[in-house]
Amino acid sequence: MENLIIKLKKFKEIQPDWEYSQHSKRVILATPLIEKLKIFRGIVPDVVFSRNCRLAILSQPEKISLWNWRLALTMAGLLMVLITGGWLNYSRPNLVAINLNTQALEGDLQNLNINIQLAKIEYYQQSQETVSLALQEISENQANHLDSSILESEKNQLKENSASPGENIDDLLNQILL
Amino acid sequence: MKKFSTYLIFVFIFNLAAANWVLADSSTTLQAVQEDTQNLINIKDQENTTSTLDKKTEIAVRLEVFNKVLDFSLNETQDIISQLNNLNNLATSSKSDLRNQLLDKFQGFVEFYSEQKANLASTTTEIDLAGLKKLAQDFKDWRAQNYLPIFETATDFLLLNQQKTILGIAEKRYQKISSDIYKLKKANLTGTDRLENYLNQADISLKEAKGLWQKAEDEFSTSTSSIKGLISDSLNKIKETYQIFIEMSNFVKKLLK
Repeated sequence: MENLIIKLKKFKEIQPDWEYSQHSKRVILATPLIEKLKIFRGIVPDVVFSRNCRLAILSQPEKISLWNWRLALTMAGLLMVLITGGWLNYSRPNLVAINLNTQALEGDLQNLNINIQLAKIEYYQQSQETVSLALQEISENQANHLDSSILESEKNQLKENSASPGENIDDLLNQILL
Repeated sequence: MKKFSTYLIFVFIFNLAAANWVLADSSTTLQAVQEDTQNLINIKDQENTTSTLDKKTEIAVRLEVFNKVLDFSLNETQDIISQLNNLNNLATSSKSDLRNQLLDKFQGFVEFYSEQKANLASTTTEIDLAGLKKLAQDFKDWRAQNYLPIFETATDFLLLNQQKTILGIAEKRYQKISSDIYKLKKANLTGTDRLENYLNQADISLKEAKGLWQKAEDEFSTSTSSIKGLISDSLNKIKETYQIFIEMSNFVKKLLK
C-alpha cells in the first residue's frame, strides 16, 4: 500500500513532451469546446435517480451542532443550582452553631458529672450515719431501741426539723443513747 | 420535645450509672457495714426475746461489724486523699496550703485505722464483750472528736472546688452559645427572638448557680456549718441550665431544617 502511494505520487512529475503539448493546444483551440460544454447545462437526472438520491440524503443522520440551546440552558441551570447551593452550604453550617449541637452538650454533661457530685453529697451524709449506727450497736447492749424501722422514722423526723445533716446524726445518736 | 426528653433521660441515666460506678468501692464496704449491723441488731433482738446468751456468737458478730467499719473507714480516707490530689484549680496559696494540711491529716487517719485493724486482729481470741464494747466506744469518741470535723471540712473543700470547675465549663458553653445566637440573628434567621429568650433563662439559671457557689465559698471561710446543701442547689441549677441548652439545640435544629 505504501509503495503504491509512492508510485502514484511520482505521476505528479510526469510532463507531456513539447510536441504533444503543442498538438493538444491546437486541437482545443480548433474545436468549439465552449459551445459543447454549454450543452451539458441541459442535462437532468432521470426521475428514478433523483428519488433515490433524495432518499439517500434524507436517511443520513443529522449532524450534531456544537451549539445546542437545550444543552446550554441545562448547563446554565445546573451552574445556578451549584452557586446558590454552595452559598447556602457555606453560610448555614457556620450558623448552625457547633456549640449547640447534641455532641457538644453531651460531652459537657459527661465532663460535668453533675449526678456523680449529687450522689457524692448524699453518700457522704449517709455513710457517716451508717458508721455511727454500727459503732453504737457494737458498744451498746440494748437492741429494742435500735430497731431499724424506728431509727428510720426518727431519722426522717429529725431531717425535717433540722437543716444541718451533722446535727441530725448527733441528735439521732443522743436519742439512741438516752 | 419528646425527642429531647428521651435524650435528657438517657444522659441523666448514663450519669447516674457513672455515679454508681465511681462510688462502687466505697458503696460496697458501706453496704457490708449496713448488712452486718442489721445482723447484729437481729441477734440482739433474738437474745432479748429468748433470754439465751451466746457470748461467742455475739462477740464474733460485733467484731465483724467493727472490722467492716474499719475497712470502710480506710477506703473512705484513701478516696478523699485521691480526690484532694486530683484538685487542679486551686488559685490561691491559702487553698493549696489547706489542701496540704488536709492531706497530712488524712495520711494520719490511714495510719490510725491500719493500727486499729492490726490491734483488733491480735486481740480477736482474747477480747471479752466488755473490752470490745469499750474499744468501739473509744473509737466512736475518737471519730467524733478527730475525724468527723476534718472529714466535713475536706468534703466541703472538695465539693466547693469541684463545683468551681463545673461552673467554669457551663459558663464557657454559655458564652459559645451566645456567640452562635448572635450569628444566627445577624443572618436574619426567623425564630432568633425565641432563642434569645432561652438564652436569658439560661443566664438567670447560671447566675443563680454561681451565686449559690459564692455563698458556699463565703460560708466555708467564715462559718463551721456544712455547705453541702448550697453546693447541691448550685448543681441542680447547672442541671437546669443544661436542660435549657438542650431545648435550644432542638429548636435550632428545627429552624435550620
